Parts: sequence; structure tokens; C-alpha cells
Amino acid sequence: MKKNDDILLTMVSDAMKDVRCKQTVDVTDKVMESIDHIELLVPKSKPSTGRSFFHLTASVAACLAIGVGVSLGFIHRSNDGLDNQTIMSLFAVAYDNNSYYTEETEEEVYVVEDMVSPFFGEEDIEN
Amino acid sequence: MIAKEEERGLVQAILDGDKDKFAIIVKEYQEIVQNLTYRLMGNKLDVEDITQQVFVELYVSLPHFRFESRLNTFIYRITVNVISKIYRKESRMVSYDAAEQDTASTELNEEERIIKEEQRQRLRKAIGQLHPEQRTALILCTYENFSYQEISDVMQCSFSKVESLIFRAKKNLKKILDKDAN
Repeated sequence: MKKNDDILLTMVSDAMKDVRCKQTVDVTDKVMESIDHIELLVPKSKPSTGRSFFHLTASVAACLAIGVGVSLGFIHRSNDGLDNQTIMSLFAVAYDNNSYYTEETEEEVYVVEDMVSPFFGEEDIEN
Repeated sequence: MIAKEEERGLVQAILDGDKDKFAIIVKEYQEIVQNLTYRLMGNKLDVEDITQQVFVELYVSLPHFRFESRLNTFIYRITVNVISKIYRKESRMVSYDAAEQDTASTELNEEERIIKEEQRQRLRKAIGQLHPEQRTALILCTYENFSYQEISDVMQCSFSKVESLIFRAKKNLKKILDKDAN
């Protein structure tokens, strides 16, 4: 059986050996012309560190955004006493205005302390 | 064929922007592509267009060439891919144009030559009726003298699938030839 297979393969090889283009067409110019058109339409992509850096930065930013989102959700769920508005106000005061840490008036400190107290014990705020 | 080290330098130069070097690759490999295309398609009219398409795809894919295989294997793979896409679009049987065949043989007398040529034509006709994947594997194995591993690289399939394709190709060839003889 194997011998017959080998004979068949030899016969196939023999039958196909003459199946070839007697004269090959030189397509070099046409190919080079096509490539010029491609390059005009789409700049050839090269491995670029800038691009990788952009992807990395975008990934890190996305992870941070997800992290903040999850934290907010967690805080919100674990502090039923606070509604969304209170949480957002707290972040706005603490992050944007920095009034608690820097240029606070007594009244502002009072407001912030009042809002922060559910998160931290009174001792934490005093410290 | 271009030597391995030269091949690497050539590809790197093209990737670095020396586009004109690509012409060297086209000139070197276009005959291989054209002959394989003709054997797989059986139609001289398609050969030029497909060859151009293969080299344009090669140029676009060059940044992804990792030098894990030889450039000619990569070119064979692209050729087989381009032809497979055509097969998927239009499933047609292959018939080899007799005018393109070089039947001259000095070793045989006229009678023997005619018998031999009849045999060859029957075989070519049978090969043309095979499933495209089986025909591709068989031609790469018999005519291009590729090992099963090389065929699996070119056809991007497993080693066992190549074994199966060639086994079925031989079985179907025998079936077609027997049917033709009766």
C-alpha cells in the first residue's frame, strides 16, 4: 500500500513538473507602483515606542478611573448614612478647594469636620 | 534564493525606509510565486494579478515578519492565503492549460511519449478535481518537495491535518483515476 502511495506521489510529481509558467511576467514595476499608492493612503506602521507609551498611559488612566469608580461605589455602599451629594461635596472640598488643609475659615472647618466624622472617629480628625 | 543573513539585512533595510530594496525581493521570488500560483489555480490569466497581490501583502506584512522562518516560507504562506481567499469566493475546478505544458522528452520514443503524456493529463485532470486544501498540500509535498512540517507552516495548520490532507488527496486521486478508467 505504502509502495503504491509512493508511486502515486512520484507520478503526481512527474505530471506536475511541466505545469509551470514558461515565461514569467516581471511584475516588479507594478508592485512598486502599488506600494507607492499604499504609502500615500496609509503611512507604513513601524514599531514605535511613542505609540506604546501612549497605550500604556491610556491603560493606566483607565485603571485609575475604574479604581476611583469602584472606591466611590464601595464608600457609598458602606456608608448608608451619606447620600451621593454629601460624598461628592466631601470630595470637592477635600480635593478641589483644599479648604480643610490650607486656607480654611473656622466655619469651613466646622462644616468639613461634620461631614468627615462619619468616616473617621473624632480622634482621627483632632490628630 | 537569497542567503539567510542577506535576507535579514534586506528586510531590515526595507523596514528602516529603504523601499527600493523591496524590488530585489520581488525580482528574486516572483518566479516561485508565479509557478506555485499556476499550479494551484491552473489559469495563466490569474497569475499576474495574484503575484502582484502577494507582493503587496508581503510588503504590508513585513513589519510582522519575525525571522522565525525563511522569507520564502513566509512568501509561500502569503501565496497560499491569497489563493485560499479566491477559492472561498469562487469554488471552481482547476484545469491546466495544455499550451503551457512543456512535454518535450528526449528519452522516450514517440509512442511511449504519447502514452506517458496521456497518463500525465489524466493525473492533472484528477488533481484539478481535488478539494483545494488537498490539492495545495499535495502540490507542496510532491512538487515543491516540502516536508509535512513545512507544509503545516505554510498552510498554518497542524502537522496531523497535513497528514490527513495528503492521505485524503491520495485516496481521492485513486478514486478519480479508477472512475476515469472504467
